Amino acid sequence: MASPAMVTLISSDDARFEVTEAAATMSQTIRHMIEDGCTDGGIPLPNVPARTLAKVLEYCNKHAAATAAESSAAGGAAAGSDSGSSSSADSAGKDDGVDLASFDKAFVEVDTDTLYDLLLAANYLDVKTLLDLCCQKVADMIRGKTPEQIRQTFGIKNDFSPEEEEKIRKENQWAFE
Amino acid sequence: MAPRPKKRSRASGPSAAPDGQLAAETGGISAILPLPATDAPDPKPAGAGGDGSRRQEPPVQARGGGRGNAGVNRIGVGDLPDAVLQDIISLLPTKEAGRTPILSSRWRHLWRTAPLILDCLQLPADLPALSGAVSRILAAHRGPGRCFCVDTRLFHSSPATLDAWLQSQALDGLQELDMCGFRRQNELAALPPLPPSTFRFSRCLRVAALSECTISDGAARAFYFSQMKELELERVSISEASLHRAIAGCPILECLLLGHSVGSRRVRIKSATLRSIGVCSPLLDGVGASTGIVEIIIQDAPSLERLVFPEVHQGLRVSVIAGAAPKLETLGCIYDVDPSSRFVFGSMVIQDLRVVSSSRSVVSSIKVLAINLYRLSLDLVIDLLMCFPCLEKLYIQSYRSAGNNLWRRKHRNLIRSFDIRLKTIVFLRYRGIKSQVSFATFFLLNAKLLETMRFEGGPYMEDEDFIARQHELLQVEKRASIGAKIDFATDKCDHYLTHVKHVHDLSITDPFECTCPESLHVRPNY
Repeated sequence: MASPAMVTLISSDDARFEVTEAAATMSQTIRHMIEDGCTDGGIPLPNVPARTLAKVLEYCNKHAAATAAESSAAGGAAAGSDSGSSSSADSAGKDDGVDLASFDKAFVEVDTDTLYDLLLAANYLDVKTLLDLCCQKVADMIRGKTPEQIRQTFGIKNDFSPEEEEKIRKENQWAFE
Repeated sequence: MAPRPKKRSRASGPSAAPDGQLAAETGGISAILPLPATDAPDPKPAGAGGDGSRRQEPPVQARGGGRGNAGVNRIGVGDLPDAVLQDIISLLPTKEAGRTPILSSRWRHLWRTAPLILDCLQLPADLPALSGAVSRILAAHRGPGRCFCVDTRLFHSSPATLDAWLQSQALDGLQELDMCGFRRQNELAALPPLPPSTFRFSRCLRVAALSECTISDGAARAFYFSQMKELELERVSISEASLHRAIAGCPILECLLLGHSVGSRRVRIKSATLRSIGVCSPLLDGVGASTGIVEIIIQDAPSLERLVFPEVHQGLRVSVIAGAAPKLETLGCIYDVDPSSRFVFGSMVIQDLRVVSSSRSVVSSIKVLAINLYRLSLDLVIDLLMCFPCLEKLYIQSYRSAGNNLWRRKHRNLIRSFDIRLKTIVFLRYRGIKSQVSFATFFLLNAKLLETMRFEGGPYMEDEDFIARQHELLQVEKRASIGAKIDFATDKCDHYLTHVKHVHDLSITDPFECTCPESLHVRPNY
């Protein structure tokens, strides 16, 4: 089997990452750059620092490998295509939905700063499933809390005067009943 | 599976453009802000014009040496782009989403342009208060709409109001309309018509659970939803011809749940895209005559994978024309308590869960089957296995024993000649009585490909003595498939065997597998 196509990504702080095309193209932004032939000398990602890019790629590698394993298990159609290397497919061969779900759950068990970095990167790189995962994590952290508790959790400064706050509360009375 | 946000309505593509100029500008602002991250980097006073909602670009981290290696340029949640914060807001329950404007000026205006999820079930139950809340939400929000779950009591008290609500800008681009009904069958007379404004969503609605309304022949002619993938009709009055027209008006429909609708007796399914169909039993009117669908005929459904009956069926006839559903894998739950129901697959006829046709035809596509037997009978189940020879997963629920299910002598020849391909058997309401033990032992000792046998029952399933004794009685040590897992579990919920309460549930691959969260488990009182 031919070795998989690789691409080089360059973080904002000039660190270089070599990854399979299958993992890289989970990002629609990178997919478009590859389609446009802008890959010579590596793909610069000026909005993503190395620390965040490494984490995003950990996610993409895991999911791309699982997808490859799934499609080869589903009939071998993916074998030989450039959608995944044999080694990554093997390593993910035992993955099932449950494993991937627990990977995802553990993946977003991070501090809020890292979570914001991931959200910015997932949004810029347009990795939809990662963006959804991180949004869900933030929503889960908000859920069930009072406004004051939410402010504390996320370091949000209440910049309303008491009168303004009362006005907004009145406007959205239905939500506070 | 964790709930996922539905399709994003905004245009795909990064909203934080990698624009160097902007990066330097906004990045510069936040770079000089000290920790801790404040929510509103824009120091403008609150209420000064709502600029917050227009800040599309996040302060991106500066390139290369711009901020050195210190990495101390922390951002706050308020620095995330509007679209991301709005996605987060859309994942919150309706009321909690509506409380976010009070957090700070950055959040002040996000909610009213975040995709709206308006769920009446999360608002006051009192009708006037509910109606007021819905009106205020729809007046304040600017759209787009994502999901509107409306209590049909509002609809019945004023059909014109719902029609007006559906015209709100807040619901522009609505993807899901869910009408939650609570009427009893004797209240189903004179159902109001489906609000005409529903049809303004003909190019965006993906999911519709329509309930307690009339779809007239005229409305059925206008019934066209190009994006509709999931459609449920529950207690809807619709004629046979109109029902066929409505189904045909959804060209990419994948899941169809036919609840207790009235006005049509026989449904013929001809669809290239339908993957999952659920059919409830007809309702009975005051004199015991059925008023709903009594017959469903699968005429041509090349993509159909699941045919499910969410509740005890009564007087339902199901026919799958030979070759009409080559991918049909999942079937059930079929009950033996109703002699008036009949299931026909090509030339095979099953009535009362007994195979009554003379010809020995088989349906090889079926892999998952759920059955409910009032009296457990091994003979009957073996007969079914012969009809569905490729069955891999069997759910079986039983209340009483019928005889002792002794099989050694009786099925000696069968065991030699017939390969049981079952990989998973789930036994519900298991009590460990003799006839059940004998039944289960047959499969343990003869199913060579068995991977899992799960017994679900009352709290005694956590009793170690009970489990040890069962291991002994079931001769687990002698099982034909030595790798097979034997599990004992407490009943998790009080659902019917089929876990289909909403058309969403039809998209689940195995609708019989209980995935109810732990908190909802209802343990029987014994």
